[in-house]
Amino acid sequence: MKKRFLKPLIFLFALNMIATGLFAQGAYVSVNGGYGLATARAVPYNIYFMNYSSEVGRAVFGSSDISLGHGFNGGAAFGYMFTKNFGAELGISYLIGAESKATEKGPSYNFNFTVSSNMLRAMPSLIIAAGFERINPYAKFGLIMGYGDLTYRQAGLSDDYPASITWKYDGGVAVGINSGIGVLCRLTRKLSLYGELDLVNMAYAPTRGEATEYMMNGVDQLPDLPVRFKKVKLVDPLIDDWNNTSPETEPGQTLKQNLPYSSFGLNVGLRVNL
Amino acid sequence: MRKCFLSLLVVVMGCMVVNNLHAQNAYVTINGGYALPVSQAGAMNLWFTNSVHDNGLTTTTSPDITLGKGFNGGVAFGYLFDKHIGAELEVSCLSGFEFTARESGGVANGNYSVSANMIRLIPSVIIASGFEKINPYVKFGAVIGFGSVTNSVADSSNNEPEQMTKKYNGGLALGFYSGVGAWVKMNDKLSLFGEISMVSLAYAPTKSEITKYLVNGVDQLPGMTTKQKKTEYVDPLIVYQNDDRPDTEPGLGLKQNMPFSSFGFKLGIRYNLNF
Repeated sequence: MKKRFLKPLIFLFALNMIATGLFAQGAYVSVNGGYGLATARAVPYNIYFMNYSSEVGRAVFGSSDISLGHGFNGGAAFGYMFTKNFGAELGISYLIGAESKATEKGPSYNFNFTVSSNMLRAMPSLIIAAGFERINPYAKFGLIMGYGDLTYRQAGLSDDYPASITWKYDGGVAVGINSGIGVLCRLTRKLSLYGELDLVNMAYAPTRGEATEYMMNGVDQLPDLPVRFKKVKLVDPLIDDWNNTSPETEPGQTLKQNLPYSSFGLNVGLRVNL
Repeated sequence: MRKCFLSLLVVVMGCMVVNNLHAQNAYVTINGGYALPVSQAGAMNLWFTNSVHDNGLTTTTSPDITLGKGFNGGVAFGYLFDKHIGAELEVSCLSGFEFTARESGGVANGNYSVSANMIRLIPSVIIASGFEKINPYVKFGAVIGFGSVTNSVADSSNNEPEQMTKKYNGGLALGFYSGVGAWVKMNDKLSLFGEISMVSLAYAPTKSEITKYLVNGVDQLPGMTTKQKKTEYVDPLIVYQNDDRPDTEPGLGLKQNMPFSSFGFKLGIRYNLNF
């Protein structure tokens, strides 16, 4: 459905460029870095992530809405301006996700949950610029495809025994929409600085997970753990056969669900005209 | 984040002053379109489960949704400071798609549905290529939404079938909007446009009310207390062991986001007020 919308628009732009007799204005490369804040946050369903504390006479629940797109990112891009107003760009960006935290606390236990993500993202986009000489506002709109992993950890005390478990999830491709608005400030004919507000609208559903740490009271539990309990495949639909349990030598299965990755942030960068 | 946005607006305005821009065009538009899901997620606070139990097999499918999916229509007032830069304020109404889920064969046997409506204010900055006949542009802005969500369940797991509808509203949804499109000039006054748009939004309602509750066809609402019918959503939620909240006041629940992001297409007509 998305392709059906995108193709006519690309065709329309291409036609427009031909119709208006556009000519190449130049290729460029850029490097950038910035920080993205969480937006369109949601509950991460596939992981146990809860803010709860049980106190004398009362219990306190807190929202566990997060977005794993929150964090530092750095990248590079290659772009081509067909005219001073119209161009296309392919950006590559690496997200170093901030750690989201939650806590569950009761009379005999106290656990901290953390989750964070890293993601390599490819972002093809169209660029429309005002075309001014020195300070040139522009905006861009395109797709974003991400190859990521996320690390989820539970650690704490249960009946005075320390316990911790870490899961790493990856696999699958995240697809979303990317857009931005910015200003390009020309320093020399070759060099420009830019600042850009970026919006990423994306979710990611990993397809596999593996326990990489499982400690109970200081003893490593992983060597004795069957594959079924230390590896998991995330599938949709999930079919549980109550009469035939899967062998312990194969990964377990759980429901594949999206994790939120939307963000809104600021990037600054340097652009070199080729 | 507001600081970033304001800084950018100042830079854009400054840029316009530097370039001696002058008024080019005020316009109004009317548009309509359809939005598809993007960034779907689970809605923890809703009754919405996809699970079928049959002959020893349980098949569960993802309940990820986004309530931003659906038809939308809107009107906008815009102003182009020059042929490249402008600003627009759109008022858009979302008539959301109804998502359905089903749980059957086990302890529960229910059909679930959820949909949303939302009025959205969308202030945005426009950067256009400035071409004469077919003029591509990109928009970037904020979304402020006033919404409601309707969640229904029809449960027939016991001999007395139950039907319940809960309506959520209250609070503001804040997010972002961006779009890429093209104006196609028909004459000096009139242009057609097509726009691919993206909304990044979540909404956490602050209250809900059960508007329908039938057991075996008999209305249960008259016998229910306000505490049973109405809920206020707060974060954090503090639940006391000795709950002394009176029955005449709404109950309390945890305030959590519902996903409202979307990716869609809209078509419209633009009418220039001056040129």
